[in-house]
Amino acid sequence: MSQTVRASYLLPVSLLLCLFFPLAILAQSLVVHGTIKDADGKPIAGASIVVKGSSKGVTSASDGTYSISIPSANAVLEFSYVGFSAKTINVKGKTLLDVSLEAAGGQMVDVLVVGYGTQKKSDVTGAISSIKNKDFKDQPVSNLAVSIEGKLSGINVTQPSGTPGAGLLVSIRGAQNPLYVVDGVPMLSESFSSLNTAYNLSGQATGTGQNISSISDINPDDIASIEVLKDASAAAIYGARAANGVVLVTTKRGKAGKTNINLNYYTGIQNLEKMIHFLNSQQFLALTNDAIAQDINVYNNESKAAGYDTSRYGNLAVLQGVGIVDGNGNPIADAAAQYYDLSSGVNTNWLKQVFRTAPINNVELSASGGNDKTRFFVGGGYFDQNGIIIENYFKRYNVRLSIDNQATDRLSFGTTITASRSDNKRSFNDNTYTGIVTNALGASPLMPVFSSPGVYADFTQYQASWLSDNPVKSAQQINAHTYSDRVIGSVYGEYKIFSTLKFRTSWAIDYNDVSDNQYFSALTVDAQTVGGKLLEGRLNSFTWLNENTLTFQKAFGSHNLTLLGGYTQQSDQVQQSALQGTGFPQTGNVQDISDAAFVSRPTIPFPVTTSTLQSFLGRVNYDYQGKYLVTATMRADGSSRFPSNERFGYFPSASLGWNITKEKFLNDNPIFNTVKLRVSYGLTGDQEIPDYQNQVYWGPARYNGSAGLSPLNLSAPALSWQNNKTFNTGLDLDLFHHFINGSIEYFVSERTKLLGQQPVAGTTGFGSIITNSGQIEDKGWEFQFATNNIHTGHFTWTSSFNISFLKNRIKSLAVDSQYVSAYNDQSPTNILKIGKPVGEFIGVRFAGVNVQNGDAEYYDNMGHLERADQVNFTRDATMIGSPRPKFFGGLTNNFQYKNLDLVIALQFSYGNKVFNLIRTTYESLGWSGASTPGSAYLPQVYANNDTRVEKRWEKPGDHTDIPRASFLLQNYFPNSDEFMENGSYLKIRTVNLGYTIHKLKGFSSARLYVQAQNLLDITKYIGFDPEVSSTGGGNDQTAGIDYAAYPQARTFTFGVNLNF
Amino acid sequence: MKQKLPIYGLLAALLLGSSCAKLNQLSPTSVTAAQMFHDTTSLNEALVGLYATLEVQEYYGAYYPMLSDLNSDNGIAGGYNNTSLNEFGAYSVTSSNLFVQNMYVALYYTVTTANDILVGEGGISDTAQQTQQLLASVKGQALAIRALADFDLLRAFGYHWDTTSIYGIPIVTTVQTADSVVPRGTVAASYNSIIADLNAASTLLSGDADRNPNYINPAVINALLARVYLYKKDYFHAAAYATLVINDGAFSILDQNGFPTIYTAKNSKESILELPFNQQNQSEYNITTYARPDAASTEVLFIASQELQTFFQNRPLDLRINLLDYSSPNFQPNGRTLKYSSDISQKDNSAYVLRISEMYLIRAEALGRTNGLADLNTVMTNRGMTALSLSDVPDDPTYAQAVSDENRAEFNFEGHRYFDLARTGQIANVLGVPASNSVYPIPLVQINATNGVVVQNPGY
Repeated sequence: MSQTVRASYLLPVSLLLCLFFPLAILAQSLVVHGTIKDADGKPIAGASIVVKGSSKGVTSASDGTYSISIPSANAVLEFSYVGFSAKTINVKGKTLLDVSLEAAGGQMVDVLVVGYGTQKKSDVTGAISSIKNKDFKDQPVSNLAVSIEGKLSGINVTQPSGTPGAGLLVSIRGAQNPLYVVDGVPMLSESFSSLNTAYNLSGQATGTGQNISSISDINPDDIASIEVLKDASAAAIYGARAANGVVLVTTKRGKAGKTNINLNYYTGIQNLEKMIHFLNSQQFLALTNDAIAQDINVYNNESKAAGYDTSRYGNLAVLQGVGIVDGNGNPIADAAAQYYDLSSGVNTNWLKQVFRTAPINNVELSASGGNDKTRFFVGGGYFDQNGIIIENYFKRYNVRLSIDNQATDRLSFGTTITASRSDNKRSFNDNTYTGIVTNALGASPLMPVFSSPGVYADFTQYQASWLSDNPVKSAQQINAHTYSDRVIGSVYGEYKIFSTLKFRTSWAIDYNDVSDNQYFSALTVDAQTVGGKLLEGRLNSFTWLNENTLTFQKAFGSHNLTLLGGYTQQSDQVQQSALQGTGFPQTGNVQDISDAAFVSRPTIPFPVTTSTLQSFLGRVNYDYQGKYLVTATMRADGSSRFPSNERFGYFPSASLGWNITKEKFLNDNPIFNTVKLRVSYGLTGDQEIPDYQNQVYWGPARYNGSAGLSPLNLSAPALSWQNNKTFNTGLDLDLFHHFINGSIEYFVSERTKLLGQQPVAGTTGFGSIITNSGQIEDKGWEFQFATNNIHTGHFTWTSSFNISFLKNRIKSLAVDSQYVSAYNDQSPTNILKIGKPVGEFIGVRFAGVNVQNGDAEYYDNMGHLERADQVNFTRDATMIGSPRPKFFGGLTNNFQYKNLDLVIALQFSYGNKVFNLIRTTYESLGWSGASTPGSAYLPQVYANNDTRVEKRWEKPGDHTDIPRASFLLQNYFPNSDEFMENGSYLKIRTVNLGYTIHKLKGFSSARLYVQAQNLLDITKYIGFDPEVSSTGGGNDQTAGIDYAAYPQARTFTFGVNLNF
Repeated sequence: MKQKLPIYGLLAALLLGSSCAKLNQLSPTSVTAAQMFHDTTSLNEALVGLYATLEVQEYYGAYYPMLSDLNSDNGIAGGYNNTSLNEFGAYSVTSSNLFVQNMYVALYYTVTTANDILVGEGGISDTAQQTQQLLASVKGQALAIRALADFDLLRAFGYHWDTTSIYGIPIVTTVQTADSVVPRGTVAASYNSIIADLNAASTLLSGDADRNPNYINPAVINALLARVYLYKKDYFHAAAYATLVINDGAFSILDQNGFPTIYTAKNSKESILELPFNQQNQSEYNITTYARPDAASTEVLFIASQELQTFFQNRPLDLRINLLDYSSPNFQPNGRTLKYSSDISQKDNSAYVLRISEMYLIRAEALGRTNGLADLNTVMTNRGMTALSLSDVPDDPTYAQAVSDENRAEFNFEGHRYFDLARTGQIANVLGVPASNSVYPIPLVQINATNGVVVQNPGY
């Protein structure tokens, strides 16, 4: 370190000398000067310039400039720099010589990280999408997957929730949940929060609920590049876990040269992207009055038509019982109005009460550098995001260190260690009854937040029965934190046994400690009766991984051969525990489990689990003159999760490539700079099932104070690996003098022997088992292009565009037509059916609003029209749409004018449907909320409504999609396509305008920028945001459902990036 | 040579490492099936587990009995506009209903666990007398619990009122594997299996003098037999077994002052089979029927109907109206049962599976108007009402109505009403839905998972 520091002082000094004594130097001999840059045009400091055949040499200054005296006008200069290919140039009498050095093995764009190594892009024969830091930096997001949203073809990233730290729905070519590999270490990426944020009033979890991702433990700022391995050829080297694609994350490392100190800071504000407008107090009452008046009307019409006292609501006595008509059947004036105290003047806008403008801050400080022996990177960061819902925040602290040392010519070693802590102050939202958004959508405007100072208004005393609690109270009185402590560390050693044979071994650990604390104060509905409730959950996971590879690389004339062989082993241990405490002292707000009056311990089926994996892998890369390319890989994986006879899975792949432009007939063709044809076929696998499903276990059961045992599971016959066979063909193009480059891919992938829940006969005592069954086909076209539109002296404009057309189809299932419920206490929302995509929505088909009477009408199974109260869900439900887009992609434009740069990134999705189930609450059209007409209760309706219902049917002849208001019966059917909406969107995801200052006093460069995230969302969607999936990040069977999701924020930030 | 040292070091590390990751992994916290049933300890623990299967949420943890009341004129669906729950509220459950789907599996889980024990204990070969006694006791209890679950399955999913019907339940008596499929037996076969199990249990447990209502004992078996024979319309046996329990001496009907303690004290003298819960192992009765004094109507799943209040208003002396609360404005015009309202913070309300009052009412019904009226009066007078004379119930239909009303008054929100209406053929009359709704549909997922081997009930 001290040497490096001294060197950095020396550089400016030598530069000064050059500036002050140019004449003296000139007088002595000939001088050549110039600037050394890399392929991106960035200056290279510390490069060495040597006169060939002498020991005379200089190094370049911090701005890349150099000046060297040469003995003769025809001297030959050698330019070199660690990590770049050396260049030898004859001066030929020139005095100005600018040199551009290429990164060794090609520049960043040309080298891709592949499994267990790197490869020149021109040699790659698989389908790999790649993105560099410069294309995703500066975004105010906590999760790296957001960074690639809309940027890579074939990869559909959905943010299911706007909650800070949220998990994402990452779908690579239609398959969910890829394997993340960070610097070679497979990283556990699922949600580790052991507690739910979706409970029903019995305190039971009602669904997967809000999902937070442990990928958020990685600071996106630390990432140098992300490669996504999409086809079997690229991914099969990760065999067992690669069926859903592999995301390779490479973090920043030091480079030899001057120590670079970098400060990255941004600050900004976030607010709600889109407001839903609700009725005010008067409109709310008017809706209720209309609903009652319309019901009386319907009764009169139906009785008249029938010729006796009857209607869909029953006879007159029912209406009298409810209190809307008198004994003569005349409407009672202001029947409801007496319960709606407009004179109170209360007119609460609940969304404004729970949403706020919230700050976001991020600071990141790093130093990197080194010499040709040792390189280092040290950095630390702090990310602090307040949620746009009151009380909610996410904070992350992280540090990172990486060191690489070249000990001898043959031996090198290094380490990377990252540690982070995050504190997620959770907001109860996304598919939960006590959710803040859930309750704010539909709360009565006549209900105040506080009924008297410091006293939360009792929601049961106001008009909307939908509420399960006062939303502001929920936000303030549920104190839920998820703390996550994570350390990922790895060491490697590399030894060149011969110049052609390299041995590498690495050892890595991933330690993750997640603790959840959810305190429900005695004021909350959840814990009122028990005097405060605390749920504690702890999940502790430890993974170790050892990988050993031998690489042989040799050129035999025009034949290049690379062989890779390896052995890896991995073990994951997970420990879980949970505690529940009830009854807490109310003084002083103490919230520790030890303060509880009563503590109980919920049963966890497998609280301690260990799984292991042993693998052998091999790869052959062969090419002839870089023209004909062959890659073959093989991986054998053994997993503890399968029965011993099915333990090993074998995953081979092969691919061919042809660099057509290297053929004579296209050599140096001005139109075709690169044309490469690729084709691949291979097998990848999946073992993502819970541990211990390979045999029958008995687990704890309690009765009357005694401990006993009862069966835990049913063992699946012949549980085995899931396979994914992928055929891929691609064309890489670089055309018209590098004006446009990109690739076109076509793939067909078949996931067979799918691992998952399969229904079994209930007479076994179990509803389902985890086993292999079914087959899903994904196929599609992907296009990804980058263009250099304008490239003049001061102005450049480049664009990148991608679009993917993916199709997904279930080819077989053990049991056809399986209904899937997004919520385990609600009607089915999705179906798995052969011939259809996974997660197709089911519901009753909406036929529109009857112009004559305003009834919402639906089609029954015979195609006849029926009213909402006549619908028989099981009989009438049919497939109504798919949450999967027909196509999706993005367009990013980069502009640079002198020191000014501008990025505009757009993202689009077309043809996907969203099931807006929460709208069934806030477009309830004055319904009382009672399940039978007779039990309607005048002081309450179900929920307040949005202002859209002002366009409802009111009188015969009204043409509208919004049915007549009705108090006694629901004049709408929730599980129908009336509430399924077009989820297509075009988003201006990112706009970033920056200005760079070079050579300012004190630092070498500074960039200032302003950035807008989620600036605009062009969509027909009625809810907050069509990019939504309330059932969490990992489940594509119930994707695309909006159930009071935490909406995404629009963020404006100001940032500065300083290099010292 | 010196240069090669590091590589040997690395190779050594590799070899050391290779012995670490074992591919044979067993759960350290659970018990493999192979470890079960080698001795009486695991047998006893499996028996505790078998009792525990009765207490899951979907079964006697609350939903099985409460859904029966909801599917009758006693109940109104609460909750947040839950479609599946509303189907019960409207007496028209469909085959994709989630509650029915879960109920079916939960009840068979009890059957499966019982079968595991019955088969497993065959492997214990110890001939010591003490062991043999224990084996007989465990077997008896397992058979009785299997019969209880089978009968509960039959009255939920089978045509229990018609012994000539083919719509019985799948009768499972062997250990099942993932691909086992069992078709439905006839109603007669279902009854035969249930009664055979109970008779065998009765023989095995005949020496048991204990009457702890938390466990299976001879009185529980007799009480269950009385109920099964009543459903089967074998009135002779129904009355005979009810008499055995009434004359047992261990149980007595509580009087008009004492009867509310059935629901507040544990194991009252009325309870023949009462499943106990505690704070560690809570039931759902309180949270699904009462929750808290000022609960909103959406917080409670099983609301007491206005009709039930009207029913009691026509029985002016009946003190059981006090077990209902119609005062909360949040529920009006409906109300809540107060049977499970006492344990707001503990949430450990018992499941009252069999009570002595039911034995009196079974015998009242089985013996008919002339001979049974005394038993009907026993229940009525202990609940504040005056005894009926034969002239008050001049004919069989009025007498049957009186017994039916008494059942409703006594057992509302204890899971009797829907089954009573179904077995007496009153579903269409009273609830106004087709008679085919006298039974729940077989869950659609079962039809699919068995490839149609398990057939649907008519009308669904």
